[in-house]
Amino acid sequence: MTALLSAPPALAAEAAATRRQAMLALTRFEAIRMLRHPITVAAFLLYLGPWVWTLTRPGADRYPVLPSDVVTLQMAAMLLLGGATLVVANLAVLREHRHRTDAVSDLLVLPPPWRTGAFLLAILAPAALTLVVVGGQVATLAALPGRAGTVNLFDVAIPAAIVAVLGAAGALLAQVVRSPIVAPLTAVLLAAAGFVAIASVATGTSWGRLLPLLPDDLPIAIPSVLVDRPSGRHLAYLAGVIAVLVVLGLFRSGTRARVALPALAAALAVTVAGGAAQFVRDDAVLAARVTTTDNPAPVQTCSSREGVTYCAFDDFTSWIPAWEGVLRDVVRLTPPGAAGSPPLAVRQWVWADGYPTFGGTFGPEVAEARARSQRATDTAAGTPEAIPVGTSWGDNTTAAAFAGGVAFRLVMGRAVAGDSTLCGARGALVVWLTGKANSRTAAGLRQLDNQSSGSLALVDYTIDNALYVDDRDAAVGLAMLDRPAAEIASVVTAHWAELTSPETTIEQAASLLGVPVGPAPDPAFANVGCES
Amino acid sequence: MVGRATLAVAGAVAVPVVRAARWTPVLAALLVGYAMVGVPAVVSGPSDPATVVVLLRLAVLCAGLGVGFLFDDPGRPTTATLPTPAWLPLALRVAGGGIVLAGWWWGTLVTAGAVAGPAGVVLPRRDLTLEAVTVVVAVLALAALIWRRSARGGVGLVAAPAFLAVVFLAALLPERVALLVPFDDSVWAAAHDRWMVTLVAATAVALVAATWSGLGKARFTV
Amino acid sequence: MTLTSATDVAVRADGVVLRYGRTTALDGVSLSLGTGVTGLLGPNGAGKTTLLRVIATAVRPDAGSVSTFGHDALRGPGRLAVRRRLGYLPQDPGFHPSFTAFEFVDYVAILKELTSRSARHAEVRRVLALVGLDSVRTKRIRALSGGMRQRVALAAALVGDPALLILDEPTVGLDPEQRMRFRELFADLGEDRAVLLSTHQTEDVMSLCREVVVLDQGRVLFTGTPTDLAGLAAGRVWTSDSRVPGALASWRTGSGAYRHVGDPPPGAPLLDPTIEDGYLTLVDLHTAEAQR
Repeated sequence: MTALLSAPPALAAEAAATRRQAMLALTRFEAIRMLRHPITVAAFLLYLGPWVWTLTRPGADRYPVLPSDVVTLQMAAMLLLGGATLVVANLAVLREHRHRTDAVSDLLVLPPPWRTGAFLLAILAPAALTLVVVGGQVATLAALPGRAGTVNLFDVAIPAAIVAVLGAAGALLAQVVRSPIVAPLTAVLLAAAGFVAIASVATGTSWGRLLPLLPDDLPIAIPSVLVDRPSGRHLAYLAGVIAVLVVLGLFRSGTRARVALPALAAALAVTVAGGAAQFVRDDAVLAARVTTTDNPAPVQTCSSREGVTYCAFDDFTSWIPAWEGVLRDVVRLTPPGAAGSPPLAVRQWVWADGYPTFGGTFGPEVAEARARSQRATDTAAGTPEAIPVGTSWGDNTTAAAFAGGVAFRLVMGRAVAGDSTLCGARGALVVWLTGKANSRTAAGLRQLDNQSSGSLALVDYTIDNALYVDDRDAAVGLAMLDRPAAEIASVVTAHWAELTSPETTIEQAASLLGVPVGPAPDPAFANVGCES
Repeated sequence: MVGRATLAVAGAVAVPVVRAARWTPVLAALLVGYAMVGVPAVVSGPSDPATVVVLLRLAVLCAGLGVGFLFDDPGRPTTATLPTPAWLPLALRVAGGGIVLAGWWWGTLVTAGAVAGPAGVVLPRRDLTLEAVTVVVAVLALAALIWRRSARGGVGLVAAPAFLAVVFLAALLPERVALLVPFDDSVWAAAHDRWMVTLVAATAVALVAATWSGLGKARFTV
Repeated sequence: MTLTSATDVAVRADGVVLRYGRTTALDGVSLSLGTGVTGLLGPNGAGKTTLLRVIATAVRPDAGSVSTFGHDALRGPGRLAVRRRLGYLPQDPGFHPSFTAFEFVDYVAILKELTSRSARHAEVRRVLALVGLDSVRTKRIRALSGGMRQRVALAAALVGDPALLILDEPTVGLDPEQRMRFRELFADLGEDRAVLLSTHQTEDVMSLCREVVVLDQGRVLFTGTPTDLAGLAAGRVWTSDSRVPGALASWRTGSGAYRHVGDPPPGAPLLDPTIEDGYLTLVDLHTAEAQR
């Protein structure tokens, strides 16, 4: 008894080691609490649940483009995992105050800076979990057969760094403002800033890089040779921000200024250097964007499948079987030899330069110049009149837009280039071919029809050309889809030449196919830009 | 049930109850919410109505985070077994909060009109007010459910993150039953019928959760 | 049992069962309270606070009945009638920290339906004086010490002169002098009303209570006078010059001799048992029985 009651000899050397051990023990305790906190659990479930569902549901998009899909993950990670860690870390530090235990814990062996250190170290737990989860997600995406683009490990690490930044911010906020409302409000503010940053990418702003997440500089996916993502520098910037927050937190809880101020200066230097370095652009890549937008052929691989040539950017070749499937589905509906010459070809295009920002130049002259350039590029590359396809795949509307491009090529004998508006029988035929090809293009056609007014736009927004079908003609094509398939198919095969002739009016086509046609519009409003 | 005694108590207790509420989080939330609209009003030119609708929704989101704190009542262990029903002080506090919120929403809408500039006339103020009221009532319902289980009267702390989770789930709703539809979308009107349904449901939940004393297993009256 | 006449019974609980999940907090508790101070003793986790909460209408049991002043205290109008005559000091009272002591007690008084302003203010001043907080009644609760806050909560329980007082460890955090004063106050209060107080202070029980109820593992082990409780250890307390390993409790007193509670060896010099000895013996016998 007496031996138990007598105090062990207090040794200065042992005290430091004990302190470290106590801090690590507290870290472990807090880390487990943070991971098991209902908010953390809910956030991880909300983060992973919808993602798993969108990937596994029938008709899911299984054609991710890695750099840009990873940005989507970063946004979701910042909102959910980062927001949750912000709130949970904030509550953990507030807890001592809320339960009025700070008076007691101030007497404990562990001095306040060490306790703060334990809280900050504990934030590594949700950050590590984020790294594991995001790593798993990226690995899953990368393992999909339809994956395009390449994995950047820095981008995989950014969500974990985001979580650490927000966790450290939550801990610091709790030391500065003792109100539990501050953390959720900060999360909402960050969410708003993130949305605005991503939404305003199209207008050419880049301040979003100062946020925890790293937005892309283009609103569309691009091949990896054209990617200019300062992921490594952004990660350095985040590391600097984490260091600043950590030093401020330790300083606030009593670390001596003699230690804290130099550390703060170093952390600020890393933050400013990393933050500024993000804005340094790679001129070679920017130049490559201009030339590749005009002429993608030099950086593409072409392969021939059953007489059709497919040219794709090197990291998008996995999409060729999918394009081939849609192309076959459209060709199947046309009489043999409908393609005529030159032989069918598909070329991928990218809109990496001059993406429509506020105040861009539009108009028929621009579109015509673009069409000429597209034709010249295709002819020079040995694939004249190649059907254009963009850098997005996997959803219904892109499938429909591509099917529309294939149908246009079969009906018109040439590729969609610039802005094309189809009228008369040919317009109805292109709509029917698009909607009939397969269930995916059918669904996409309906979606595009709901979205457009005036004329049905079969548009892939990742490339700079557009195919419109006048609404009155498109209505005939949509009506054809409601009729018995075999009946319409046999009429189309039998009257192919007539239906693809520019002379055939929509009334003639409608009576031939036995579908109703809407009243003729006032000639003053007639579509004058029809393709001839 | 509401007798003359209850009314007399309500009259006497109104001022202390409103004073006892935790206003700091509520006002902070409203301030940040107003900033969602007020800052763009100062720093940027006229925005299109679709953007202003998003900003107003963010403002309402902030307000929703704060509303749960109206339920915070650290005095609850002491006042739980008093003859005045617990919902009475709660109702008075919510009423006080409602007045503040109504004024805030009016000011936010006026500012939003200024942000939208001349296009402000097309802002669907009625529908957005419906959304705002629904969000506030939904948070009240959520807070009332938490309040039933909280012996020490700490509600906002739990309600705020729970509300964020609910908002996130609402944003994931499939198009057929979507609530957060973009301005000018063809399903705007249908979505606002759903907002109305949500409002009615949330009101019912809030009232039942705050007043139902519970039968059988629901025995916590503290 | 000293309470025999029905009119004297303030509270009658019968077969009260309350479970939290799989834990049974109260396992068929029956007791009657009359005028005077009744002490509730028991180890930590015995169910004392839960029983007080049931009687104070803060929680509704899963089974059993509680009748207070002839009303069904568990539901509806009966519960309301009980609450109008009840003062309850919870184990861990809560406050609005921005209120002054006066404002907080006044707030509680309003919720106790004292709606006449001047009468209420007089009553609030009276109870604050009773608990000795006269001088700090305009101080914010945030600025008060733990012991003072405890007294604010007691004032809140006393306001409105309730006929039934339920006090959960009222003397926690008070210094010896305050505790003496409170003992005096409780004794005065117990003269014409029912006071039920839970405590770990056996001296409080001995000096105050007419009745003692001992609770362990959700069951009533003993009901009777403090003297009866002490009497349970009669013949089981002895003294010797050395430690006895087999005893229930054994310690060296200030005089140098050892005092033991347990089964004495034959011929050992016996001592007069205290209420603590009785309590110890009771709980030990019960534990041994439960293990068998």
